[in-house]
Amino acid sequence: MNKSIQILKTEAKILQANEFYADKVRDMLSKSNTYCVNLISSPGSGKTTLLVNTLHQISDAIACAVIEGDQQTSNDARRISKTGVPVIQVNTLQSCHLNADQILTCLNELPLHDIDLLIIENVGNLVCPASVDLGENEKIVLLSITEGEDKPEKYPLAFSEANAMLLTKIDLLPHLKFDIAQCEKSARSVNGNIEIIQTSSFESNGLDKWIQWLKNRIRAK
Amino acid sequence: MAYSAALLDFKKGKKKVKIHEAGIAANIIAIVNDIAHQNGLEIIHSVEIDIGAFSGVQIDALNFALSALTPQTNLQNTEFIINTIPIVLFCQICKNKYVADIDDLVCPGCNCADFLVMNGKEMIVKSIAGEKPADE
Repeated sequence: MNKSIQILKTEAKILQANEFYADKVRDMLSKSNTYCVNLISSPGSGKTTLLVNTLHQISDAIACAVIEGDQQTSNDARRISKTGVPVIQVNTLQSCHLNADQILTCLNELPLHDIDLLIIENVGNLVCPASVDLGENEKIVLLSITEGEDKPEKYPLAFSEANAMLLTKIDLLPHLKFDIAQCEKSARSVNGNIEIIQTSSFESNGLDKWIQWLKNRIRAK
Repeated sequence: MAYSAALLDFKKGKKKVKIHEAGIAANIIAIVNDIAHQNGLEIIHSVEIDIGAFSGVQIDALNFALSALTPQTNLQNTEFIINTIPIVLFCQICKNKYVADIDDLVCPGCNCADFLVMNGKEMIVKSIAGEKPADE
């Protein structure tokens, strides 16, 4: 009897299945000329509130759609749906992030050719969503000023993958000991090119800079 | 806007492994079994895996997930060898290539963090060593 020992050089990407779906998403978005952003942050940073207020201001001029990722509930999708924008809720159950196959399923449910801007609100988590490609044009990370200034250094992958960091809840600044300059320095220590935009969902004009930045990105696509 | 509000709620019914590294481990196991099947390997002695230090994967958690998912399977005696791939960055300002630590990504040449990641994001099943059925 001869045993036949083999060593196979595989070089197989562990996330190859996700990459396959992410490429399909990219292809569909490209064909429909839809710009797609993936919002990432820790839970409670104000993603949904920012999104609702942003949609109120832009959805008359820009055709939007939203994919909401949460482990449980359709609460966020209900909030979004009140703006009149099409929304799909994905419950990831115990999974800590959205996957590209879920986005692909959603795209088949949306009138993609009529949509200029697709916003994905990922599950609140600064770790896993950073390493999972959803086929988006860009990742945007939110950090509320009720969190620590050094979050970018604690979660370097998320902040280095993002093209912009939205500093949210800036209206709370008078009540907090939050050092904006220190936070910006922390962000730039992991991503020298990151665009940093201060936002407030509750002050008038608090979203103007963010919306202008977003419009420029869509225009430049 | 011409759209009416559309609320579509769907849940994925299929069982999924829970934490991030467990999902990675499940992908590894699926890849190993696929390749072993394609190549007629019956016993799998070892699997070599490259994980980049900038991939977001915790090696300890991945080892734990693999040890939790493989008992009573064909991979229960398989050795999983995990190599950590160091972070190598290319500075776009001073064109310097440097090895970085996850705690310190800044270029030593210009003190900026305007980099391309050359190595460190790998998540690869690199090789599989196994045995074909014995010849009669």
